[in-house]
Amino acid sequence: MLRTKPGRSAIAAAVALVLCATGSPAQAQNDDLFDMSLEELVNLSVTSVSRKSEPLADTTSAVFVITREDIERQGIRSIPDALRLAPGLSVLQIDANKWAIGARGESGRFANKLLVLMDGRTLYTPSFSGVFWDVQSTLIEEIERIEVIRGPGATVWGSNATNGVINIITRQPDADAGTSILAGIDPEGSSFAAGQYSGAMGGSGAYRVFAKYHSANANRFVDGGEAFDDWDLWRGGVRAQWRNDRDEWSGSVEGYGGDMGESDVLFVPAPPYFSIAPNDASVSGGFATLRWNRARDGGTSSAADLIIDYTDRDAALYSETRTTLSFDGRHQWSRGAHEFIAGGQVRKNYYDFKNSARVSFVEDFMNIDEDLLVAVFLQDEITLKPDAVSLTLGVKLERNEFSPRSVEFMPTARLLWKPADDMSLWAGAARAVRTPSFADQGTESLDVLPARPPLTGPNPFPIPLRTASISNPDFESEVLAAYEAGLRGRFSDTMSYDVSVYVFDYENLRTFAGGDTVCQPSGVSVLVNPLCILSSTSATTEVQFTNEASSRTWGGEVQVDWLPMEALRVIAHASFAKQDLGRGLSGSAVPFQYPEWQAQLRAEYRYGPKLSLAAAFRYVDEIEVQDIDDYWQGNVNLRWQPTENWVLYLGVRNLFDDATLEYTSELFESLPTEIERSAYLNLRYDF
Amino acid sequence: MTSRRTAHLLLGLLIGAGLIAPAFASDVEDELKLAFTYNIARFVTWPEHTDEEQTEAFHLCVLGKTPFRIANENLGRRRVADLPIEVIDLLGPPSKNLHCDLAYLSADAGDIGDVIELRLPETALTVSDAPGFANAGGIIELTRRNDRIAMRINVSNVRRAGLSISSQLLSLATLVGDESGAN
Repeated sequence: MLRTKPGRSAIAAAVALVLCATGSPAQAQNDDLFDMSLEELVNLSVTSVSRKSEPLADTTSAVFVITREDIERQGIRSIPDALRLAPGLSVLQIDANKWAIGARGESGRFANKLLVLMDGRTLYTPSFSGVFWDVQSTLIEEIERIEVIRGPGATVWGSNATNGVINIITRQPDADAGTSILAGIDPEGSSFAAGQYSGAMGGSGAYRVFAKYHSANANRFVDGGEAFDDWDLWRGGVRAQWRNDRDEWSGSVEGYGGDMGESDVLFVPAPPYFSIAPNDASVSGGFATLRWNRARDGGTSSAADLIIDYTDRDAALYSETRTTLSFDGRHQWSRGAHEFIAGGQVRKNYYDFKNSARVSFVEDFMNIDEDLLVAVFLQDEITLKPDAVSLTLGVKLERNEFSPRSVEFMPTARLLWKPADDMSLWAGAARAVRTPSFADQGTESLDVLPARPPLTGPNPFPIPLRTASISNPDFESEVLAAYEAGLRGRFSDTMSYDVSVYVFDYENLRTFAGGDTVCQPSGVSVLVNPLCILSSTSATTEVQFTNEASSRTWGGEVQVDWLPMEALRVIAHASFAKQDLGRGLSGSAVPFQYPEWQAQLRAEYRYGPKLSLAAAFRYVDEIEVQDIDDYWQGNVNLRWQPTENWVLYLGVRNLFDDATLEYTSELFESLPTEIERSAYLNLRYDF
Repeated sequence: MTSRRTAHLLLGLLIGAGLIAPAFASDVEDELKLAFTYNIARFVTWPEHTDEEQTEAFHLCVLGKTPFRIANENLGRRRVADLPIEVIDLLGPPSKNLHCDLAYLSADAGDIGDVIELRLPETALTVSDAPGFANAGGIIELTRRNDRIAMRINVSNVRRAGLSISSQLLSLATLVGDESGAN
């Protein structure tokens, strides 16, 4: 299968390690080159072959790589849409600028068990341990590939890499030379204009600059009305690299700014007990990265990353300004049958929060204007039988200021066995944690769930019942014990398969512990004076985040990659995830809001070098708790390159339905919107 | 023939003058390039052979000491189009009946122009990492673009050699020559 390219950055090296946990000796590795397909060779980094690169077929994790070619052939223009190609992930769009993206049974707008990195820079937001996908909108042509690792990667990446890791790797500046002008129009979706220029910098360096503006139309509400989720964003940046015989330096600077429309659901004390308020969140930010990489003979290499990241979000729900400074260092070496990688990380965050009508930071946390994370890790890959059996052991220790435990301990053990040349079996066990966030420990929020009308469901009162969350400074890390196994190989020269299964046991999972119900606006507890409800317009149930649930999620993914004929490639995969809610709950866990079954059929047909047709169809199971039915959805894209300079992309997204409801925000509900069918035309001109 | 001759001369001159030399060279890189070459062979159809001897094996000629060793070690037991690969050293003693279905010409080895001109049959698929190869009479040039090996294919020269290359291979390469559609 595909090979990975380690070594560009510290993180990339680590990716490679996790991706490539095998211990075949150098000679055998190079011999593998002759077994690779032309497409694999074209995508192979020369530097990585010289260092350490093993086929994805030898990894001890469930990995899927979305390549630049996959993205281009499918006419994809955004990272969330690209992620839809991977098995074991759930990518569901909430409105025009919000996504619920998660892996293996966990998802949501505020999903917190997926670690997302771009060139080693974490895209994680400490305030809720998740990702704001709207600002992860770099020009798609800047992306070389996206590695999706299902299951924990905590030993190398650290906390929050519990259910999965998404590693976005940008294209090296010297990969192309020249100028590209891009523009696209999609009347129901987003239209854009962009430019890219790559040039050389002396004899051994290169740089690329890009700028992009994109503007997206609003979706529509389920009842057909126009929502307020239109948005626009500009973005620009530069990447540069320089290398000599020993060292490789690369750096990037990127900035963005825009407005995200939202349809906020606000409580009103009269039926229907909510009103829709249009609101624009204003976002801006930027980052600068610098990395160094040195490869020595004998598979020894070192790498370091220095990153500064600034983000500003001013929204109805909450406002935050954050600056993150981080430093990563790694060293990789081998001794006998052992191959080691060790590293450390220091990350410092500076915050400035503002309260909103719905979310307020409790005083202790409002005063936190900085925090520090320190982590170290060591991994040893032991070749037990050359080219057949290897064992990887690793551990990461992390100190952060939110875990009540002083040090988080994240070990892993993984085994690879290759019974035949074209088959490998792997199994792994790991402990990973999702560390507490500001949202868990230090915020109080009103209307985290929609108000319940009088005398409905669990509301016994003749007045509407609202829900407020009360933070818990003693909230602990959620802990995952993960057990995984997989089998991959080839049926023939043209067909490969990949199967993985997992059991995830969670402890200390977040729950809402029922608390007092108080009359509003008097603030009197109904337990103290039940009659207060007669003189009140509403009551509020106060719930607290606690760690009282255990649960088990289990499932698996199956994938087949087939080249039935030279010009046709077919990829099919199916994923299953099921949650068995655990024992002894005193609070209620956030319900499972993930499609149990998902499937995809993807095909790419090349009609000569100038014309290609690609299609991707997906099945998404119902999400019962959100009252969302199962559906099939699909995209088609025609790519036509009439001359060397022009490329034209014509396609339709969401082919099977006028509009599809994919997901409803699980907390702080905003009125659900439907994702509409849309036709687009994109053009690229290279010169 | 005239344009081919001129091209070879030009190429020979360039390489001879040391104006173009590979920026990186290592065994590993040679291996990678030979892996490319081996793969390329699987996407090419050669004209029917008339000569009996030629149909017994797939003749892979290699120019360059290290590349020959690597090809011999790694490809000797493999097959192309169901024929066993015979690896031939172009630096070895000259043979009267040299057959090359495919010739890998390492830029490190030096005088490529001479070899093409004097020793290679017309129908040989030529592959080289010499910069400018595809524009100077060669068929497939392996270039280093960024950190990857990329292919440049001269489609005019493909046709001239009577070869047919699959669209899958063409779609992975940059096309040059009269019929490439390039400006």
